[in-house]
Amino acid sequence: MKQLSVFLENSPGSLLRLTEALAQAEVNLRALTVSENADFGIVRILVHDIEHAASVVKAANFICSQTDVVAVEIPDRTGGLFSVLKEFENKGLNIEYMYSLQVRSKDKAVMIFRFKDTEKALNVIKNTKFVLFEEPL
Amino acid sequence: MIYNKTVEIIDKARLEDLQSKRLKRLVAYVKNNSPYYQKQLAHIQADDINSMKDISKLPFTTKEDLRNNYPYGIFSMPHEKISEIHMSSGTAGNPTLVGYSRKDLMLWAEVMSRSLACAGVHSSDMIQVAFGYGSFTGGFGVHYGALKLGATVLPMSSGQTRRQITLMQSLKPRILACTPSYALYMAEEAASMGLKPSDISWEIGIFGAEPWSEGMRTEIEKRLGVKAVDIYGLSEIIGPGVSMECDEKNGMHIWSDVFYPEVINPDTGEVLPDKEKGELVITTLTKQAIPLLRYRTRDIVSMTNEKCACGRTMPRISKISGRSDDMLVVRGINIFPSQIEHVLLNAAGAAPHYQIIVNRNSIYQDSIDILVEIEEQMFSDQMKEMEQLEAKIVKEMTAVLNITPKLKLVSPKTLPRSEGKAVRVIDNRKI
Repeated sequence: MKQLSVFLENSPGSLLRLTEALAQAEVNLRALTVSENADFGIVRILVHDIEHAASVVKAANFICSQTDVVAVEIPDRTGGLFSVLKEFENKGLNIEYMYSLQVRSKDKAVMIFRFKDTEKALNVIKNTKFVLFEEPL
Repeated sequence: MIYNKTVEIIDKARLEDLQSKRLKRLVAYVKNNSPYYQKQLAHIQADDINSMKDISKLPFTTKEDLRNNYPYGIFSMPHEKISEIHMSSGTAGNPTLVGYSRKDLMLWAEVMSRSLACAGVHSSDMIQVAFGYGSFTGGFGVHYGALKLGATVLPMSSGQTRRQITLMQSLKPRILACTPSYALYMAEEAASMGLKPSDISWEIGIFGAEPWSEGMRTEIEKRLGVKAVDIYGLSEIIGPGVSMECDEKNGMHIWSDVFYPEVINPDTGEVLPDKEKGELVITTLTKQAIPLLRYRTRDIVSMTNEKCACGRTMPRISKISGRSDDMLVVRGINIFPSQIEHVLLNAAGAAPHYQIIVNRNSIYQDSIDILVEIEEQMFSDQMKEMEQLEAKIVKEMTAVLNITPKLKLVSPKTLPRSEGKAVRVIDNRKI
């Protein structure tokens, strides 16, 4: 799965300007998370059509890039996330960052993971009992 | 006190006679010894130089010329014969290198002792030298002059402020030499240690290496209880000691028997009459290692040949009111925007739009903010990589500029451009 990563200057209104550009182009945001320090932020976005979203964002004078991330279905029960993370730990997979994706399902949640080596992570996860989330956004 | 009565109060006619003889000799000397001037002066013979008016036949020399002939191309002496080398920051990459023969070092000591005496220093005084020692000329220049004058030197260099003040309390030096901003910093520190102006032993402060205003002078004099005087110099000419303010505080005497000054229109090169504002150009009449003809200092001044009430006949230049290039002086350090561009190219792998903002706080301390418009190559989805990049840029800038700027990444196309041209520098200081 591809994520759109956008640089956001730490100044009033910059997130507003980004979401405004996306709204006007009728891009529906499926997930959004912000990582920030004192000076700037990095916005991570999941959308249905990433190429379209990227062109909209660039046209609005933002710097962005496309990043490979891995979406994993998590059993929606106590200890669900723990069981996944435990498996990653056992297989030596380090997480750079992660966030959740809302899905309309009663029995599962979906977490988005950024690994250093996406290829390796996919191979490892395929050999576990956990399932990759591959539905269109 | 006038240190060298044979030249400092010389009459104008004898001075001009001395200058023109020296100029004639200088032209022959650089033609024979400097590979650079050999080429530049191919069409000029020493016989063409018979009075100071003939100086207009000579070409200007610029910092660019020094850089293009780095390291020794403009020298008139093989490096084996050089006694000491100093340098200042160049516009990009290479520093501006200057060399001193033994005789040049004696000349430096001479003009510095004239300058110190001009400021009111006596041989019985102790001088706390808080200019930086090292490749920067400030510390050593004052040091050599103080030795020649017979004063006692306290070679502190800049920094270790508490120690400077503690030593001042126990040794009671009457003289302080440093940048004006460092003087104010020391005043601040002294106050925080509970000292009053009456606890300060310094009576005379010799301040230079960066532009400062009359307002700053008043502030320093009030806070430290000193008489604050202005010293001017640049490493290309010799370092500190090119010119010095006397008790009249009405311009700095430039030692024109050895450093011949002209003020020109920086755009046309035309020599301007007395008291008109323009760029200061200096010819080093007697230097051996790296004599320079009509060196463009880029400093904007006005000059007067009127006799000064102190008795000296040497011309006086005004405080530096600006630059004819884009160089910034921050905390006594010369900074060119091109150096910052160079670092961005090396460290970020991009030549982004940037803007340098210089601020001065209420206690006259300067700081630099560098705003950089982020480029695609610089961007990562991972915060730690972005922070590593920022840290790398700041580290390299600190290494190149000798000053640590604050870096701020901003969105593309947010920095102002006027008529399509980038506005590189915003200097918020009121100098």
